[in-house]
Amino acid sequence: MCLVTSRARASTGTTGADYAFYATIALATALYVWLINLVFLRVPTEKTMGIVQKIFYFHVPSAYSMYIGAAACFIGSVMYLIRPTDARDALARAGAEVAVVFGAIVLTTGPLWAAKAWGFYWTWDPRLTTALLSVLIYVAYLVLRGFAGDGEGERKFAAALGILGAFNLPIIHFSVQKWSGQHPTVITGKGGGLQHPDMKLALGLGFAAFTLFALAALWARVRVEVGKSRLARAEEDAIDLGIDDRNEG
Amino acid sequence: MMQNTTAAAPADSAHAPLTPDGRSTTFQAVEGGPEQHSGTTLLVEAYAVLWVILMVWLLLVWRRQKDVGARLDDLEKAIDRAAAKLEKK
Repeated sequence: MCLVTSRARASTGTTGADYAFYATIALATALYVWLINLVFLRVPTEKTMGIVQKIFYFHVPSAYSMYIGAAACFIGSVMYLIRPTDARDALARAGAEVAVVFGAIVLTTGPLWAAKAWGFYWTWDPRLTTALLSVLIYVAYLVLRGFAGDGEGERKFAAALGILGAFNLPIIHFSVQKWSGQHPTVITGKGGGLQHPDMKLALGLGFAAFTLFALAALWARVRVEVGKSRLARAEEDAIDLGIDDRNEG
Repeated sequence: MMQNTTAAAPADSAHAPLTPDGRSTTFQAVEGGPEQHSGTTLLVEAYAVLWVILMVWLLLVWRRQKDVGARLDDLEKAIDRAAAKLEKK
């Protein structure tokens, strides 16, 4: 009876972290609503590409969010190899998942824009190819984590893959400057930039909204992964102590 | 771009059955041509894809949390069983 009461108490109660998470979600939602209103109702149509250019305001922030996930995976992986903890492994795993989700958005919205702007969905342009490669590395990471078990060795192998995946990020970023290709370079140093204040505002809002959403998603996923690791340890302890009469396998 | 020679036929003959003489006899190239993709449709598709991907992800996260919940339930039941055994002793 006492055990049940203490468990119930532990599962309730709102912490400061919860309030910070709710605030992040609320702010991200407000920014998304503003962004949608701006993109569809106020931002002018681009001169040569027409309305399809508006994909840009979701496509570029998605790519940026993919970088956030990949960076989290890299940081979590490096920290895990230095000193293994559940939280560090959870950060790496959640980061890889965020990178795959936003990478998938980038790799689908980009070709939809290209169909109009270039006349075809896909070409083996350096930026497109390196972005695809990066997403595939993180897909491989998740497949490894999903099917290879959750032991110390598997976690370390995945951490190495997480670090390897991060080396491709600067290549994606600088590929449009170093190699020839068709991908636009509008917002890089050599690009002409956005030629209307509303276009700049929409892109800025897109970055803010997607960043907040990616951080919130990362946070939520880390929390679930840490919870899963703690639960797995509790299950093992329960079996070792003879509390849980199920088999360990 | 493929062009059908019957496309230039008058409107009143548009629904007339095709005769062997009315079929295409040449394929002519054209510069530019009609648009292959509607920008509006592509924009809507891109926007829809964005939200579909996020919703599928949310669904997968939900399923994973459900699995964690089920494991927690099992563990709680095991603890309750052990507690009941202790009380009996």
